[in-house]
Amino acid sequence: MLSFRGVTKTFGRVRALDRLSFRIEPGEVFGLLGPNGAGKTTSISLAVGLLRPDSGSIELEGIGEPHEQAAREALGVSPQSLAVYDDLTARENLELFSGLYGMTRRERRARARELLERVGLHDRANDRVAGFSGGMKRRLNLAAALVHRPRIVLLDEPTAGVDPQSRNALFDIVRGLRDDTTTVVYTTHYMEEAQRLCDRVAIIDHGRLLALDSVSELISRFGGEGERVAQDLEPAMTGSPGGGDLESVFLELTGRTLRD
Amino acid sequence: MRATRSILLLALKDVRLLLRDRLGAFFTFAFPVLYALLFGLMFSGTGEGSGTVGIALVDLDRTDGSRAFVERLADSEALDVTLVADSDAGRELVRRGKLSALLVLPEGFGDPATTLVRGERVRLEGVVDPSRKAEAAILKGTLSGLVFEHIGDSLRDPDRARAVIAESRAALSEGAPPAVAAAVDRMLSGVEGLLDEGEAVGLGAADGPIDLAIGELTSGERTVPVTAYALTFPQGAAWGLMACALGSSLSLVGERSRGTLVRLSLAPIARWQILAGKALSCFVISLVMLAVLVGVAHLPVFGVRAESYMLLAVASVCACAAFVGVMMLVASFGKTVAAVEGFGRAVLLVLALVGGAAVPVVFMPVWMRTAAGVSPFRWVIEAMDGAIWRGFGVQEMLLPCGVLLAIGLVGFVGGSLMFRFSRVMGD
Repeated sequence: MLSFRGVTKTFGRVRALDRLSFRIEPGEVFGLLGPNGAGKTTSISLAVGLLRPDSGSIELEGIGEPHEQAAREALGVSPQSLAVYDDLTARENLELFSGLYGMTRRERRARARELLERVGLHDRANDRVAGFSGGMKRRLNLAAALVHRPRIVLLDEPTAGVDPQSRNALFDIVRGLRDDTTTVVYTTHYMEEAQRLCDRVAIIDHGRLLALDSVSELISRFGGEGERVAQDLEPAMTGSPGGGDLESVFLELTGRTLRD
Repeated sequence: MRATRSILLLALKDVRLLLRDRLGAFFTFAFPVLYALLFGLMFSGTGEGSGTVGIALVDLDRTDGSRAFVERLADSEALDVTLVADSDAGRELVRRGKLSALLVLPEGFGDPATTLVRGERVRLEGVVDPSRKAEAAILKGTLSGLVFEHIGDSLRDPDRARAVIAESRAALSEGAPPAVAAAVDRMLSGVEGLLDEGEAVGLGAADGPIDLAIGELTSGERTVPVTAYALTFPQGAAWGLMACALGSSLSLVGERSRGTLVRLSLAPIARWQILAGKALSCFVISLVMLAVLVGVAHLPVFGVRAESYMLLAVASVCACAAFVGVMMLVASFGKTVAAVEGFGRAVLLVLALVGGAAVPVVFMPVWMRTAAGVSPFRWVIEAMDGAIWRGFGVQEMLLPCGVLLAIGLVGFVGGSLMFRFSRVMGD
């Protein structure tokens, strides 16, 4: 569905991505993991066409390169920053964004209603976003990425700063997208989220791909019996198959050096 | 069709956001009206004490002549006289900023008419507040006028004039050099002769030396007089346009900071459409602001009527176009909202002041009047003045409107090329 082939991107003297290659299959939930500065945001920015690679290529298979109009129709993005208008209502936000994809007024209204229902904001449809909690804004941010029924959705840390209830609701939405055969690219710092949601996970660091496989394969290959490090996550997220977990794999591959 | 619809949607979004921002809406729509109202009141001379210079006055001479002159000063509409006991008291009032100047009639001031006929200069002393140079200049002119008016009144009364001549002859005999005394005596004899002849032919006592008839400039078939508000509403419009342009600039940069610009950039619309949407909203908001301003100016209390509404509409459209360009340029200078706000306010404030949005250009030094040519405010005010009360024709409107359109075009194209879209998510 989405292919990175030997993609390199530098900013000045900093090489953000170094011959990065991977392929995301249609309909899968693909986790893109890495410590701060690993190249996740650069990868997403390249995938949506905000940046162009210095070398290598990126392609949405059967559609074209990300900056092309057809690719934009196929892509939906939920940025880490809450890219919604605080002084518009939830419904107005969604109708505005869907209007930019050429929908008629009737289609916009129907789609906004459907999405607000899906993210649990239907009873707050006509309230201004300024009065929403962080979790509600995150859900609306995600809904805004879905207005045009994209074939591939990129979620950049969609659960940052939300409470467990909203996080759970966001998980349900992601699972719903997978059920609809929508391809999802999911970046997060929470290994448990990736472990619960992702069909496959890519771990990158210093712009390079360190590992790419299903969670269970990664755990079996890279010492999934290691101790847990993060103890502050909710109990519902700490369960892991086979006693190992993705966090141990992540630390094994990227090291324990702080990356502030 | 889809491109047009996207631009309209984006512009509508900005208008909606502005209307929901009470403070932003106030500065966009109400502030220009308040500005025009305030300055109109100042320039119209309405209200007690407007247009007068406050002075402290000390009469150290305390003669009939000086008292008569004090009365004349007190009666003057141009002065607001406060009598004080001594110079120190007067200086203190000026130092504290309560009054603009201290005026002292020194000992020996006497009657200005006698002093003048004796061939001496009328001497006044005083100090002025250095921060009120304009009022000091008005005071000097007013005093000169009052002195001559006082002397004129004295000499037009034949009996008083003869008394003045007699006093002068007496003074001359007390110490003037014989040659000077003889020359002045001959002059005084001539004046006496004139007084006799004047009485013989019946010259009125009230006739002054100058017959001045000054009316206000009118143009065309104007039936409504030009009020002070006709002068200040274009200035209010200039401030309103500044608020619109700055508000739209901040809105654009704010979208980049918040991340909504990334979302817009990822939609299947071109970047020029995003900027066109912002430009359209800025243009529409500016135009509505001007319409509100013109509507308020038409209220009976302001009584502003335009010489040509067609040309006023043209001037308004050109002014809005110019400030769309200004908006785009300002937005392109800086990465953050704070940087653009600081830069925008500083630059636009200077341009507004230089361009006559606060003090009319005619009151400025020559070099500043020349420099005003680079300010869009100057051309906005000229175009609107031209349409409202100067009675400009189409040809005369070509220059200001052409300059405004050029500013708009260059500003928008240049600003669009320089404006930095987000290149990275979260950038």
